[in-house]
Amino acid sequence: MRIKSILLSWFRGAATPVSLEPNCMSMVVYGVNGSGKSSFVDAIEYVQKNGKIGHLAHEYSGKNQEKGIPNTHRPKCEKTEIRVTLKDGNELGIEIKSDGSSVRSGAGACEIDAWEYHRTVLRQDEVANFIHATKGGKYSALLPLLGLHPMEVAAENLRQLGKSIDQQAKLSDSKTTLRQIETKKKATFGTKSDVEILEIVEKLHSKYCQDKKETKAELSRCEQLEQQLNTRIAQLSTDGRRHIALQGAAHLSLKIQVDAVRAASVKLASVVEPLITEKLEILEFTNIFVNKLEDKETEVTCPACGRAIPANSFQMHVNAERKRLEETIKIFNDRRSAIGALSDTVKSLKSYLGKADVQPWRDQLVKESYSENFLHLDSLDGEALRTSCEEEHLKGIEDKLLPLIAKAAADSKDAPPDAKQLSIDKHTVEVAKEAINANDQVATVIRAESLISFIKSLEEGIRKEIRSQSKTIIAEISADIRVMWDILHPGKAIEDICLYVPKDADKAIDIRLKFYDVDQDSPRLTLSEGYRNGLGLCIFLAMAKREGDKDRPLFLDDVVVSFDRLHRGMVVGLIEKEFSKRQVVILTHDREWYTELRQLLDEKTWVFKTLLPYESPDIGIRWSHKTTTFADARGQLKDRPDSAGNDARKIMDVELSFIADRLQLKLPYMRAEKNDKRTAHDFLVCLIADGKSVYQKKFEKDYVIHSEAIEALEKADRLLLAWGNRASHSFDIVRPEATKLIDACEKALDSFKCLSCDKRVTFTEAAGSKWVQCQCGNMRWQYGKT
Amino acid sequence: MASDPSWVSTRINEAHKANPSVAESVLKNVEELLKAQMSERQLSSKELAEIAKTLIAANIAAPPEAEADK
Repeated sequence: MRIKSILLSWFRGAATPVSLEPNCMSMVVYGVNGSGKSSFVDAIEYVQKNGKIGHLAHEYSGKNQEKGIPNTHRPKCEKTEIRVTLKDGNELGIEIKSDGSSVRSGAGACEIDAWEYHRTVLRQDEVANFIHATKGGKYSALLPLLGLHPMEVAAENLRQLGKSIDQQAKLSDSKTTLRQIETKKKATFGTKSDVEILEIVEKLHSKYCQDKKETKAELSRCEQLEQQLNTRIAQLSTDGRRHIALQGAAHLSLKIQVDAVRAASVKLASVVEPLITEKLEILEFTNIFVNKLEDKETEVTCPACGRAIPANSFQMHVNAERKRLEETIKIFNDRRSAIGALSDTVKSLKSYLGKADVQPWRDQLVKESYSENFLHLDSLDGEALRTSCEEEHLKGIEDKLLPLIAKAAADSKDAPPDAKQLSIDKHTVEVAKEAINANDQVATVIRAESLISFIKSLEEGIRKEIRSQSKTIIAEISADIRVMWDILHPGKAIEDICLYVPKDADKAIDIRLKFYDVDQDSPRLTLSEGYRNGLGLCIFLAMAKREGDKDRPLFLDDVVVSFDRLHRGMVVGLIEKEFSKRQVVILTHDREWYTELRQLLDEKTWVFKTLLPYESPDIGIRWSHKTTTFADARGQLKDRPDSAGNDARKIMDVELSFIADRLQLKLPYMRAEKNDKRTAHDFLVCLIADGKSVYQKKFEKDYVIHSEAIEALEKADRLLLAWGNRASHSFDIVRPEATKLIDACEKALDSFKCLSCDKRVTFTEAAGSKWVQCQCGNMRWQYGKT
Repeated sequence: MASDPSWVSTRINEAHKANPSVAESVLKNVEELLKAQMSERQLSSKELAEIAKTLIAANIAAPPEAEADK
C-alpha cells in the first residue's frame, strides 16, 4: 500500500504541520544537511518500531525518547503528532505525549504495522550494516523474509520440550537407580540371567511358601517370600535376629556410594568453578541488558563474548549459551542422584542398627570405643544429606560409619546356620525383587528416551527443512543482488556475490564473492567502503524486492553519500529498472544528484520537492515552492552573497548540462575530461543560438519561436559572465547583484517549463523522435540544428 | 504457517521412521501442537512441562509398536 502523505506536527525538526506528499507516486526530496529530510524517515521508523527511533537510543534521550522526539521549542498548547495517510485513504495518527508515551488511532495501523522497517527504510549509516553484521545478525535480518519464523519457533519449542520430558520423566534419577540395582544384582547373582534369577526365586518360593497359594506373578512371589522370611526371622532367637540385622548392614555398599558422590563432586567442581567466575561477571551486565532489550533493534554488547548483537538476536544467543551449559547440568544431576543413593543407604544403616535386637551389640561396641561412631550415626540426618552433602559429611561417613559396617560384617560371620541361611535368602529375595521391579523401570526409561529421541529427530528434521528452504530463498535473493550489482558496477571484477548458509551452522548467513577470480569469504576483506556501501544497497534492495507484490514504499535516506559520481548515476538506472512499480522516496542533500535525478527520472511517476534550509525550531521544516535548488542559494544572500552567487552558477552548470543532454544539443568537440567540465556559459551559447530556430511555443494554431525564453537565457548568460565569475573567483559581488543573478538563472531554467502543464520541454518525444515537447505540447524543441 | 503446515506431517513421519516405538497418539498430539501454538510462539517452561507430562502418559498408555509386534 502506497503512502499519500506524511504529516508532522512538532515532531523532531517539524514545527507547525508540514506534510510530505508523494501522492502515492515516487518522490525525490532535496534539502541541505539539517533541513529536516530525516524527520519524515524518523516518523516512519517511529511508527514501525512502536515509538522508538534507532539513532535516538542512547542514555540522553529518556526512557521513551521523550527528550529527542518532540520539537524542543514546542509551545505547551501544541501537540506532537504524526499522521500517515495511505492510498486507500486510511490513516494512522499518533499523538505523542510529553512523557514520550503515545496514542495511536486510525485504520491505517493494520497495514503499516505489517511493514518491516529493515525492508522499508535504508539510511546513510545503515547501508553497510548487513555486511558488517555477524552471521547470526544477518540471519536475524533475513529471517522475516525467509518466512521461516514459525519453523524456528517450532524447532526451539521442540528443543525445550525434549529437555522438559527428560526432567518430567526423572530420567537422570531413574538411570542412577537402575545402575545401583545392576551393581547389587551383579554382586548377588553374578552373571546369572533374568530367567535364572527367576528360577532361584521359584526354588526359594517352593522352600518357604509351600502352604501359600501358587502364584505366577514374579513380584507376588517375592512379596510372599519376604513375608514368610520375615515371619521366620521373627521366630528366631534374639541372637539370630541380631545376626540378620548386622548382615543387612554389612551388605550396604556405603563405601561405593561415598566414592561416587566424591567423584561426581570433583567432576562438577572442575566445570562449575570457572563457570561461576564467568557468570558473576555476566551478572554485572544483566541489568543493562534487560533495559536495552526493550528496543529490539538496538545493538548490545554481549557480556559473555563482547560481540555487538541486535537485541532480537539475544534470545538465540542465550539459547546457545544454555546449550553450552547442558553438560554441566547433566553432571550436576548425576551428583544429585549419587547423593540420593547415599542418603537412602545411610537411612537403611540407621534402620538396621536401630533395631531393638541389635541394641546389646551396640552397647557392647560403645564400651569398645565405638561410642563416637554411634553418636555420629544417630546424629546423621539421611534426608538432610540430600540438600547438603559436602566433603566433611563424606569424611564423617567414611571415618565413623564404615567401621560400624565392617564390624557388623565381622560379627555376623559366625551366625547360627539357620539365621545365616535366612539372611542370605532374604537378601537374595530383596535383590531379585528390585531386579524384577527394575525391568518395568527400564521399560519406562526406554519409552521416555525414545520419546526424547523422537522429539530430537523432529527438531533436527525441522532445522533441516529450515536450511533447505533458506538455501532456496537465499539463492533467489543472491541472484537479485548479482543483477543489481552488475547494474551498479558493470564490468567490474567482483563477481559471484552470494549469500550462503555456512556449513554446520544453524541460524547463520554470510556473504561471499569472487574478487578478481579469487574466492573471498567476506566483502570486508577486499571491498572499499564505497563498494561495500554499494553492495549494502544492493542487498537492501534485493530483500525489499521480495516484497514487491505488496507495493510497500521504500525510503532511501542519503544512501549515496560515499558513491562517486559514476555510481550515483548507476543507482538511478538500478531504481528505474528494478523498482519502477514500487513507491520509492529518495532523500538527498546532494544537489548534483538531485538535479540528475530530476532530469533522468520520469516526471509522470516521480515528484520532486526541495526543502528550505532550516532556520530555527519554532519555524521548523519548510518546503520550497520551487523544484530547483535556488532556495539554498537565497538562504546565503544575507551573510555570503558571493557564496549565493557561486551556488547559482553551480546550479546552472549542472542543470544546463542535463538539459543540453536531453535536447541532444550539438557542442564543439572537446577531448576527454574537458567535455565534462563545460560551464553554463558554454551551454547557454549553444542553447541561445539553436533556440532561435528550434525552440517553439504554440501561438493560436501555429508554432512560433519562443522569444521570451531566448531573452531569459540571454539575460542569465550576461549576468553569469558579469557576476557569476566574480562570485566564484574574486568573491566580489554584493547582495543586490547576487539576488539579480539568482532570479535571472531561475527564470532561465523556468523558461524550459511550460506554464500550462508545468512540465519541461524535455518531458516527452513527439513527431517521430525529431522533437521533444512538454506534456501538453505547447512547447517544443527540435533535436539538433535544422 | 498454521494455514500451510505441510512440513509438519512430513517431518513427523520422518522422525517416526527413525523412532518407530513412539505411540501413534504421541504423533497425533505433537502434530496438533506443531500446527498450532508450538509454531506460533515460544512456550513457557510451565506449558512445556504440561505437554511433556501428556506425551509421557500417552507414550506409556499405548504399547510401543516394536513390542506389540513381537
